[in-house]
Amino acid sequence: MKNFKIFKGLVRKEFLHILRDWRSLTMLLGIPIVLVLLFGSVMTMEIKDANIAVVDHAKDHDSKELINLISTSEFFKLVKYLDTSDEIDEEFKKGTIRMAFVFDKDFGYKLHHEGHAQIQLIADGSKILTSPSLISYGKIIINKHIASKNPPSRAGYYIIPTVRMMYNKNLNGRYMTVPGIMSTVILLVGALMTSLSITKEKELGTLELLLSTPINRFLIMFAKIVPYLITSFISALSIIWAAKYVFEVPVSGSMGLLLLNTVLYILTALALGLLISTFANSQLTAMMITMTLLMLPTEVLSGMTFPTDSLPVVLQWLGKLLPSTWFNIISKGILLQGAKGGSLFFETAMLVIMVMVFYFWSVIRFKPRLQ
Amino acid sequence: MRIIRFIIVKEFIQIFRNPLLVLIILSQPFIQVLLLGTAGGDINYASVYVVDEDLSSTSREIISKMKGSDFFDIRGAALTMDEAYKVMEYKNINLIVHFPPNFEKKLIKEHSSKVQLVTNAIDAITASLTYAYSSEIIGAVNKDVAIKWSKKSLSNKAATVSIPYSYWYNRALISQYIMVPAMCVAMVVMITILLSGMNIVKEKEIGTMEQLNVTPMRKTHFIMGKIIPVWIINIVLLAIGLILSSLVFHVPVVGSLWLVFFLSGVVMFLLLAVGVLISVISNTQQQAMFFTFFIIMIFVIFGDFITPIDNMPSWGKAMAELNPQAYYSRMIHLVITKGSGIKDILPDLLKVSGLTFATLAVSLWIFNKKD
Amino acid sequence: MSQPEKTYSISVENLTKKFDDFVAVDKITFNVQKGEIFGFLGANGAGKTTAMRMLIGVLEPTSGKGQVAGYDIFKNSRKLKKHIGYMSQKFSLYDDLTAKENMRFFGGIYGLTNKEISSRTKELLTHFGMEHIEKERVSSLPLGWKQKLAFCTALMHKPDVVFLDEPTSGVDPSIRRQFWEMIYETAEGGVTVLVTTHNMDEAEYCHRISMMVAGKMITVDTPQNLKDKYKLETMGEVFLHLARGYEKEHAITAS
Repeated sequence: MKNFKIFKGLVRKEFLHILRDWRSLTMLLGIPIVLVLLFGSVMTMEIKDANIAVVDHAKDHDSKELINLISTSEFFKLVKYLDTSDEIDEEFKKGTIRMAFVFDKDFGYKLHHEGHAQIQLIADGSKILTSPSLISYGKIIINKHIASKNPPSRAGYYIIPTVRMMYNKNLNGRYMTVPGIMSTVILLVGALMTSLSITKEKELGTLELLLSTPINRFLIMFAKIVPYLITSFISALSIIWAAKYVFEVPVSGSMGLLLLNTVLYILTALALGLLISTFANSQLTAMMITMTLLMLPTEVLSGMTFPTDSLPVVLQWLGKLLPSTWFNIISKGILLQGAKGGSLFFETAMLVIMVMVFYFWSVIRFKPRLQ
Repeated sequence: MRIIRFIIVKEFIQIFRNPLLVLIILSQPFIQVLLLGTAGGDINYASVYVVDEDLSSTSREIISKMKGSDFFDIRGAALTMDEAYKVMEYKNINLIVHFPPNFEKKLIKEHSSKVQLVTNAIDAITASLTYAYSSEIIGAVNKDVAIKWSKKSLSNKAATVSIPYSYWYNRALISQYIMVPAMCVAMVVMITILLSGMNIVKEKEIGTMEQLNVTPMRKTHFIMGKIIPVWIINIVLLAIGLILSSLVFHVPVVGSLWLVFFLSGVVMFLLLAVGVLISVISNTQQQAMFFTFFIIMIFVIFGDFITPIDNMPSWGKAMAELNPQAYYSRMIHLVITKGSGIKDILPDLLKVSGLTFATLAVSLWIFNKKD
Repeated sequence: MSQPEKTYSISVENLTKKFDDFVAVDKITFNVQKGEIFGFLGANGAGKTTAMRMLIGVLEPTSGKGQVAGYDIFKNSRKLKKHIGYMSQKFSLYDDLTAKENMRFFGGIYGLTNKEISSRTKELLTHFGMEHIEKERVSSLPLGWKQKLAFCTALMHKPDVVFLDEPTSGVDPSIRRQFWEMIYETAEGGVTVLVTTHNMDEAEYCHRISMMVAGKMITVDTPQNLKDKYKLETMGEVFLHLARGYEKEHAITAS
């Protein structure tokens, strides 16, 4: 009971501290949701109206028909007719086009009389994220058009693939990126808040003072993170709201389970921040460590943008050390796959282990050093 | 000038007095460039489960073709679809290939038969690639089957178009050639803003700013003295990053290396101006931390790094016009990958300089107003 | 440029600072002679610090006149800053630099040459018996030594006037004595010292003191004269007497 009273007192003190600085509080609650809204709105791999150029050496009926088809498709927008292939380089260097279609001389003649013609597709190899899709869309349009011109043959055998897109019928890219940015933002804000505020107390010497009192260290440290647990939970709620109502990510599984896991994940973030603060010797180093270890790594390694399976093995293992990797699986599982607790047992267990390790390790490192 | 030198010396002494900080700064190229540079944006992998209720030679042929491709990794087989769905939920496999009973019989009798492909579409890009590659394999099997079972050759009558494609500037579409320079850019952006954003506000927090205000030192001198060390540090980091990119990743530099450093130096001043602005509008390091985190995230989101600007809605493209990282990344890729010269990047350089002066002017104005 | 009259080191007339409607400093007038130790007394919030901030050129006065070390505080704040030293209430040297590095840095900021910096550093540290801390990091020094070092740093560029804002708050009495000895020695060398304090014992050390209540300067005199005038034993009693009297008078006129 006495401990609880002390605990309450400590929590209240921390809270007042946060509430007093309204500027930080606004940012604490506002930044996560703003980032999720911005990122969710602009992050898309869908190709629409990509600027293209055409080099038409044939200028016949067939090439014109196909060019017309390409330029009216939703994927492409024809911005330039070029006379030679050399001009493509200039356009690429100016950044005016993203792809070029080159039609051979006598395209139509070859197609009808030789049964074979050629169209060359040229994309910008410096845009690795989008160029392959451009090429494949280009191929699809051309192939469809040519196939429609050929009379259907009855002689062959056809294995017809029927496709079922599980969890994301319309192949909406946001289903992957919105949960991804959510985990990145929660992790970074949580870890930054705790690591900086604890390091500041270290700098000021107030933490040393508190730790040298007979109050249980585990209690002191927990009291330090409770207020941030609450503020982080509020911003997590706002993010989940945005995911559901703004980006229309379905919540197929149990919301309760998701919230429970979110709390667990926030605790992991805060405990990690705590651990970082035991190593940092100034607020600047705390921020540098947190940003270095978490910002780009979570964006690249935890499945926010690139599927983790396609990473090199070393990076896959490093990714497994990041809490966000596990939370990504959990949140996508619950939101999109309707996963029950059982199927996520391993991932949840990983988060629990991480909280434990981070928390106990930091409390042990925070031994009061009496001189 | 002499005064600026005194400030610079002081800054360097302070940085080198903190070995942890030096370690974190110097580790940047190794963590962000060497480690994360190996993460490609390319998707080259899909895990597959097979439900073969037919067990015929045709179904086996399709499976063995998939096994033979680099893209598919057959993880196992299930007897029923229910079982396979469970695996998809628990282990996050990408694709289930389902051959219904009498798949082959039907194919022989009716000349067409269906195979079911169930893809995990949470990651829309992987899902569509998975579909494209499996269709390709099935198409190949179609041809084989036709040759095997019918005496007539079929496809000769139909006209075909071959669609060769190429990726310019990066023919093999090696993602590291693009990712490694992009990581250098991301590193420089992050470290420049981090080091400058927290720097001036620290002097406010510890009270030395008050002392400096009583000296005849000019504020512009002070700011110059503060940002030049960060500029030097980042030039060094960039050099290490580029050395790594050439030694380890063999990233070809088509354009001039001097131009790379020149444009980096120019962009760094814009980033430093942003850092200074953060410093003057914050009262505490904690507030500066929030601003810094927010700004860096925004720069990444609109920075063509993991979110292609090309695919963004027009307002996103407009935001990118104000983003130093977008300019930096575009210019670096132009020079390193495409070999552009100063003339090609001049418009961007001018815009960057304009933004630099505007940001610095605003910062100085606020700084002077707030004593 | 004509050299202004140097009869007074500080001369202030009807100096006023308003923040919106709040009058922080209300028409204060006083003169300080060269080499004099002049005390600003008053409770917290009486306007001492605001007044001092105007005199050191970091806060622009609303109205009135003022000259410090011969420079107009309205027009010449940058030139003025070259000729004054300042030690703030909050310790404000760099913790992660050594004593010498701090002095070197501030010397450089004031535009001293390398030669001047070395000789001045040595001179000050020897003069005040602080040679042994030269290479110590400031963070490892006890508070009293930090304050002494801050004082030395404020003297690096040989200022005509030194402003000390609550210089001895938080240090123990023995260090306080040593500190005042430093102030006396400095004043004897012809440097004018303006010091704020709310410690009434310290007020006794000043040559002359002024008392501020609610932004007004209610009296300026030597400590001895004030004690004689009101027939009181200590400066603390004098201050209480004056402050109460002022408040009473104020209450009457207000009602």
